Amino acid sequence: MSGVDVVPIWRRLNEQLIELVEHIPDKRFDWAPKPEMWSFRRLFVHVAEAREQWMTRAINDGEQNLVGERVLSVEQIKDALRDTWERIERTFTDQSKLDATYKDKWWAKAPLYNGHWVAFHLLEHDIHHRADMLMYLAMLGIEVPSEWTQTL
Amino acid sequence: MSAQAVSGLAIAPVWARFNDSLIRLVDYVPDDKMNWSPKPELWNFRGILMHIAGAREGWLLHGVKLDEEPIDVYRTVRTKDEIKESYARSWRWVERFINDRALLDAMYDDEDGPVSGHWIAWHLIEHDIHHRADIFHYLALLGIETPDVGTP
Repeated sequence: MSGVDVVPIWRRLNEQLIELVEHIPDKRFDWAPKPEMWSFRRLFVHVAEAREQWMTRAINDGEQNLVGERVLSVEQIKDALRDTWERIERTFTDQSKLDATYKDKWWAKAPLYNGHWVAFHLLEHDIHHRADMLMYLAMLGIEVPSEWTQTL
Repeated sequence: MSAQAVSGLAIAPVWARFNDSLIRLVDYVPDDKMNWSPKPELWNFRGILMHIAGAREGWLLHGVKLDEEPIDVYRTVRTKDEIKESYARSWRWVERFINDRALLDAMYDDEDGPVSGHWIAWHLIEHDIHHRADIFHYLALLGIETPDVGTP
């Protein structure tokens, strides 16, 4: 089976996520289209938090979680995206960690994960929630940057 | 972390299951909402659903030039059954592409310059996930219960 080199392109997506923070007006950071949907701020925190969670619950990389479920300021969100990216990049550029199999520390009945699944899940998670935020901005009529990852 | 320290991500098995979930998602869209969108300037369900298969066809049959029988999505696909069939067929092209190291490592002409097969694979993952998120978002706005978003 062939492997796809996704990390350099994923890094660009993370940079786009950090840039996206700047496109959200301060007064809209806690806005959502419906009361039961998450706000911009909650979505950003969730993206960073999920990266930490999977490094802890599956990969068990021994690093300290910094985000948790804190309410973050705009600047803290950008730092959290930067820091958590560097953390997952350390795992996903190590082929032995991708190929390894992990037990879920939080859910005993979960199937075993390999690093490829965790990586796919986190890239899916990043892209899915970026799409949420781009849709929110479109609904607010706010011009958005190009949504697609540029070529390297 | 060095940009050269890239690893190969074996994404085919997870992406295959993702494609299966995408096919199931089509049936969550009510027939009388296929032409609905939240704002007039945003694409409707049908447009987004067709666009997912259209992008696969564009990149893999016209960009990579796989020797496969085209679907001609924008001329022949309209109904939910046709959309589901187009996902099943175009997935086989994706699967062939991402399992062929030579095709991934090759360079292809694009309007913005040459791109690698790895970049095309990333773009198609990104595209699938991004537009699936749009569909989830539209369903949520309509108050329609959706399946779990989790990675299969």
